[in-house]
Amino acid sequence: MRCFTFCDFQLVPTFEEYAQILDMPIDKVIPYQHLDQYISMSTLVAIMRLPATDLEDSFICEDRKGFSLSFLAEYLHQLGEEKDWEVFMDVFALALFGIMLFPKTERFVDNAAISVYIAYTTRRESPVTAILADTYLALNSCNPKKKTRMTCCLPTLFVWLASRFEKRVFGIKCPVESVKQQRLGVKSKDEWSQYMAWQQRSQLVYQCAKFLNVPLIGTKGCLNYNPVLTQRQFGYPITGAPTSCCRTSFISI
Amino acid sequence: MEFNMEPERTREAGNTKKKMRVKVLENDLADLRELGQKLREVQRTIFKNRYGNLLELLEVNVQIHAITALVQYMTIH
Repeated sequence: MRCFTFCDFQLVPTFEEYAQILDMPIDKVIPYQHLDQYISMSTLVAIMRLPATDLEDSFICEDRKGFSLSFLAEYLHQLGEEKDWEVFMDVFALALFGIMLFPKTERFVDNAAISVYIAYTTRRESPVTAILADTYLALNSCNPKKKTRMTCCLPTLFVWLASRFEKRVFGIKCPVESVKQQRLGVKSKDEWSQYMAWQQRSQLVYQCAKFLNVPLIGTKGCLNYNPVLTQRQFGYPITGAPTSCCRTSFISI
Repeated sequence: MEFNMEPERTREAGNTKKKMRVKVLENDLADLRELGQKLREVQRTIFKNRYGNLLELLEVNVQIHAITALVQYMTIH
């Protein structure tokens, strides 16, 4: 199990915190399932409201499937001028999914990100688990022996970190507003533990039916998730040592 | 960002970890921020209902140093 260890306490980004940062519901929704990676032209036409012939040329750039940001930005400017806000919002959200939530390469909205977007809009599959899985996978790829490149949704990870230092955020619904312009400075150990608690919940996701590990499916792979060690993060004491089953990691890329 | 934890670290023998060199893929969000400004209050509310906090997250100033510093504290159990 991977987590951030600071002296004598552990912290991990959890599903509940990410859902709160993103302000997306977690009750009564299904997590991202990674189904149907093939994106048909008719689905794209329905989102973008552009003729298929126009889309085909820009959908595949240099052997990769997806849209370049410059293409989407140009189209969005055009929609803004025409005041077609319905289509604008859909295309804008698609661009945000590709560039901010599921980045893969610079200034490019990848096929995988589009598939999460479609899963969210048509099948109501929550992208929160996918963002969390991608964050964990990116952290996992960090290796002291070689230089690594982290690709994950940075704003959520940063808000998650910055919200630890913000006393006011305790108990409020979403911490984004208060940490938006915040700059982190040097913090002492005492300050760290002071600001630890962020939200208190009566229910936590830490088991999948009878199984101790929760599977998380992202766009780049899947892994298990087990926040049993970090109950303290939510204001609960840890009652015993975790079993070896909880500590076994599973990663598939 | 730095954390004042040196005394504890040096006390534990063999805990001197090699620093991880991490490069972060940082997508330039300026274009999208500019486009986001086009949305008026009514549309922002509709967008928030549909897609959650994405507009607010777009305006977050991410400090890359904070992220790379955080990665140094990653441990495997």
